[in-house]
Order: sequence, then C-alpha cells, then structure tokens
Amino acid sequence: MHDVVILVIKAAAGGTLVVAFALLSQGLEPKRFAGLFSAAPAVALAGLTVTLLDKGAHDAHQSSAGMIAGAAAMAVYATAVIPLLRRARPGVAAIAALGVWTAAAAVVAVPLLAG
Amino acid sequence: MSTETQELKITDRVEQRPRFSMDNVRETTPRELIIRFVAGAATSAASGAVTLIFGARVGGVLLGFPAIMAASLTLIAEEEDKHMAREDARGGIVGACALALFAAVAALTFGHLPGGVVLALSAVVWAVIAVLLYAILWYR
Repeated sequence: MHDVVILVIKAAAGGTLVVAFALLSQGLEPKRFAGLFSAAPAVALAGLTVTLLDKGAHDAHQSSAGMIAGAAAMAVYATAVIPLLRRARPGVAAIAALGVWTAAAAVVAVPLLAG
Repeated sequence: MSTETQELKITDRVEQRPRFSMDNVRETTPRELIIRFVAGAATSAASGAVTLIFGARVGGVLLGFPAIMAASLTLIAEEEDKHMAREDARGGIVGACALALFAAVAALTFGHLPGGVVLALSAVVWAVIAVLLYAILWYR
C-alpha cells in the first residue's frame, strides 16, 4: 500500500511540475530558446524529492546515477527527431525516435549500471 | 509555408532575442496542459514502478525519458508547424545535455550535502548550463 501511495505522489508531483515548466516554456520566444525547457528537470526534481523523503540520500544517489544515461539518451533523441519530423507525421516521428532513446540509453546505462 | 523555406540550420545563430510573453501563456489550451500533465505523471509513475522492480539505478534511467519532449513536439507540430517543432527539438538537444549534467551533479553530491541543497544546486546547474550553451551556440 505504501508503495502505491508513493507512486501516486510521484505521478502527481511529476505531472504538476511538467505543467509548470510547460507554461514557462510556452511564454518564451524564440522557439529554440523555449525548447531548452522541453528537457527541464521537472520529472527528475519530483522523483528525486519524493525518493529523498521516502528512502533517503542513498536511493536518490542511485537514481541520479541512472538518470545520467536517460538524459544523455534524451540529447540523442532530440537530435534524431529533427530529420524524422521532415519525413513523417509529427506523432509518428516523436514515437519512432523513442526507439533511438531506448538504444542510446541502453548503451550508456550498461557501464553505469555495472559500476 | 514561408517558414518552411526560411528554416534556420542548427549552426545558424538566432536573430530574435529571448523574451517572455504572458500573451503566449494565455493562448495555452487546457488540452495542451492535460496532455503534458499525463506525460509527466506517466513518466514519473513508470520510473517509480521500475525502481520498485529493478532498483533505483534502473528506475533512474527513466527520469531522462523524453515523454514530455515527445508530447511537446507533437503539439507544436500540430498547432504551429513542423518547422517550429524542429526548432524546439534543437533547443531540446542543449537542454538534455544540461540535464545530463544535472544528474551528474546530483549523483556526485547526494550523501555529501543536504538533500535540498543537492536538488537546488543541480537545478541551478541545469539552468545556467542550458542558457550558457544557448548563448555560446546560437545567441547573435
């Protein structure tokens, strides 16, 4: 039961922070500058805060170490999605590039998770 | 569309100065916010669930899952155009590089500094590095 409550808190906090950063991004111009906030640490701040309060600094450290792989792969995702947006419908391009994220995250995560 | 023919390359500097407009914020529709809330909540819940099953390191990888970027790109392409979505993604490359530094700073300092200080420091590093890289690469 405790784990379910924590998941719900993480989801609510993550969604709320994402909306806050999205509103900030929406107000910014030009679009390239606003795009910085597409990769804002909204989910990370929510997730790490709840982890810190629930489990302590050790688990938050472990999550942060794993996050390096996810964030590096996000840069690869953003690079890959640009040419895909020329060739495919937006939804298709955004979803297809998630395959690139998965592959890149796996490549970076293997040494991180083994360490 | 004229915007499609005048598209900047990733190496081009951006003429327009960064600014904030409340008018743009007011144009945001509830649908856009709901989609982003769901993307953020789903990513957070997925990361939490994976953490419960496989441990904090594996779950942490999903803290960098680009669900929000994917939702934003789709919404921008639908409601503005694909050129604007590509511009957003170019900014996202730099934002994601800064996000990797956010994670690295947090990983290095958790356990050595109070947790609140770690999160604040990591967030400041993300903001400073993202804006600095934007300025170096694209500010005219």
